[in-house]
Amino acid sequence: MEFGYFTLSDNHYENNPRDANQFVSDITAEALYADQLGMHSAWIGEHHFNSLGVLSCPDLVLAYIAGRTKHIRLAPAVTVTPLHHPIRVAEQWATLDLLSGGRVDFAAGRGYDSREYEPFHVSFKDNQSIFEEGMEVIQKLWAAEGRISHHGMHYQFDDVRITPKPIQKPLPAYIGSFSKPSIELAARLGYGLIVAPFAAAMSYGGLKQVADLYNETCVKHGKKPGRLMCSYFTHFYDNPQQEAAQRARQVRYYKECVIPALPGDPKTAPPSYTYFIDMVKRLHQMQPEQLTENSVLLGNSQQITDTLKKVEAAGFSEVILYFNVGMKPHQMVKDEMDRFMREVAPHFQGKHLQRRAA
Amino acid sequence: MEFGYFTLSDNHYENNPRDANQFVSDIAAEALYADQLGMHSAWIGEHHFNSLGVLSSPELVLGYIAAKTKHIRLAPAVNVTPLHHPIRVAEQWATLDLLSGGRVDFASGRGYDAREYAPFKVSFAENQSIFEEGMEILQKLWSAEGRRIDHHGKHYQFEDVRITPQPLQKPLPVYIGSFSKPSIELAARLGFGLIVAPFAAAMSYGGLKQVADLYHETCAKHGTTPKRLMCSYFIHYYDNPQQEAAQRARQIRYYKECVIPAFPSDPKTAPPSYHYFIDMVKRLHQATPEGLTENSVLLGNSERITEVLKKVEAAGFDEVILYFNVGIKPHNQVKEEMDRFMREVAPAFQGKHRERRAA
Repeated sequence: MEFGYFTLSDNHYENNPRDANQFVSDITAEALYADQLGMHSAWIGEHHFNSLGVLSCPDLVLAYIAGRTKHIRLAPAVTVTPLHHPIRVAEQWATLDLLSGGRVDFAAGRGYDSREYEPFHVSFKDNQSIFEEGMEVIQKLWAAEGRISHHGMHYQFDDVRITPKPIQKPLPAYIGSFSKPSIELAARLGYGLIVAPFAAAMSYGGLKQVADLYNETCVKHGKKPGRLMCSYFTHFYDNPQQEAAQRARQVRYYKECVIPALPGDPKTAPPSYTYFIDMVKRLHQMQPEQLTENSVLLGNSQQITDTLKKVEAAGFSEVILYFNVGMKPHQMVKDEMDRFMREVAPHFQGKHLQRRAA
Repeated sequence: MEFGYFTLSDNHYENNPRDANQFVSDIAAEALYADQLGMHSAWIGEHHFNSLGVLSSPELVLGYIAAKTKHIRLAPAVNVTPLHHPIRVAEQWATLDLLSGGRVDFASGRGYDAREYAPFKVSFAENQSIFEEGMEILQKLWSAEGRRIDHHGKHYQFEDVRITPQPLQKPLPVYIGSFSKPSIELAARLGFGLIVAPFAAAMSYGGLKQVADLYHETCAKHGTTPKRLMCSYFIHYYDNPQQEAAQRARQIRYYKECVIPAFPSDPKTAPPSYHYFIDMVKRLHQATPEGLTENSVLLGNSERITEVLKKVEAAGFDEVILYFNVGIKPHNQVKEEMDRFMREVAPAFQGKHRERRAA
């Protein structure tokens, strides 16, 4: 199993002394440190307008990281594709793939925060259909040898060829999935899947169930299943004081960053988001002592290893780790990353074994 | 005077063996070499769909260059702003400014090629007005200092927007790429610098001095402080008649195969704001290798090139960006010409390149 660095650049906290520029700089430094530690990948989320997060251009941060590294894979977590023209998305990630020598893992989702849609004048309630068409356009543009035309419901163009082209053939792509339609989409397009264990537990009953459903759906569409990935919040602790502080961070994240971002009101949530209403209810009730391995890796290296062994057994190829959550200090994030790679990663097969031996 | 590396990634040539990926890689390498040589800036153009050029995402190429350099300034040449949502443009160049430690020179234009507008469903005919409103939004978002702002315009409407991250430079330097009078008005009104092509300056105004005068007068009229003036130049070294013929032929191929197909030229379809292009295209059709002059191209040895640039400096220009890699000039030849320029021409001018090369 491979391990990646992951962030959504959560910074929507009351009385937060850390400004957006500082946090984006910290994240960049942490992703570079992840490469030094032999982590497989850096997954950088996209958020606009200081909603949940503050890092609006993962493409640029990853281009910068590409210029400083030789190994780490570069991934958005995820590109909110409906906010952008799919031609533009195709051009940008192809360019990054070229610059980085073929290190892009592209990932896409439709997001969950209507506050990020409105300023761009994109319809939040139609975004499932905009998302699906956009993903089809991107796939066509990356795979095309010549010029292509597209006449869909949301996008129409003739005679387009993007330049430059991706150097990986095909460019690996993943769908960020909270729900069934996105598993369908990933299977239909032959893309991999990336899930949050919390959402997997709520929507499907667990990671194993997600893996089974994805594999079945791929068979139904006659596609070879791609890689399965999941994200995990990660908090190390060795004593009760540390435990309380870490659990409090995670709950602050849910209450101050996630709840305001998710569609929680039955009167305004579009039909394709009604399953979020229940998620928001559960998050409101969340107590520090209730946090479980359904969403968070908590404790010492042994406990974290035990949980990850189950994730591996469920058929997942990569776990991306969200260390810097709830205003965890930058230095502490780096210490936890280092500890993870020294004490947990060696219990798993993966490229990190060669990277760290070298 | 400062000197920069400039490209529009021209690759629209018949029987061209160089593919888009190779050219984008060459350009990234040349921009890194420019930094090594002590050049002031890298100006990377934006073109889509293998129209005139093939480099579609200058912000990412510059993000990559930012990581590998400490000095060179990073600039789009230019960002075709109407093709993108201005909020997105503001976010991207603010992010690059942060990552690079404040090395962005942002530049913007409305382009000239309808083939780049159609797939994005942006109106080519109305792009002057889309461009102007977009530039006003960029200025508001970059200078908001953490405040959330609203905008209710003709082309864009939003409320309660604050971009993150914010640019490091206060203010972020901005230039308008100008072929015509409305863009000089816009630059002067918003307090932005100006970047012109000598060819267009000669046609539209009579020369670089006239552009500088008009810009300064227009700034005075708007009560804004004039900013830096820049111009671009094609540049081709030669030392003998064989080389001269080859270099002049490259430049003509560029005009005929890359530029003419990109420009609005048909009086029946060209939008009113592009009518002055019709005459430009007519002249380009008639351009001959021996007719190329310092109105558009730096040609010859270092002494001749220095003489022309002394006139540009006297006209009040602060920076010249140099288009070496034009007309499928081989990558190695481009690097040799860049090196020769910085050894033989740049030292005749004041500029940061002197300290960089002394260090």
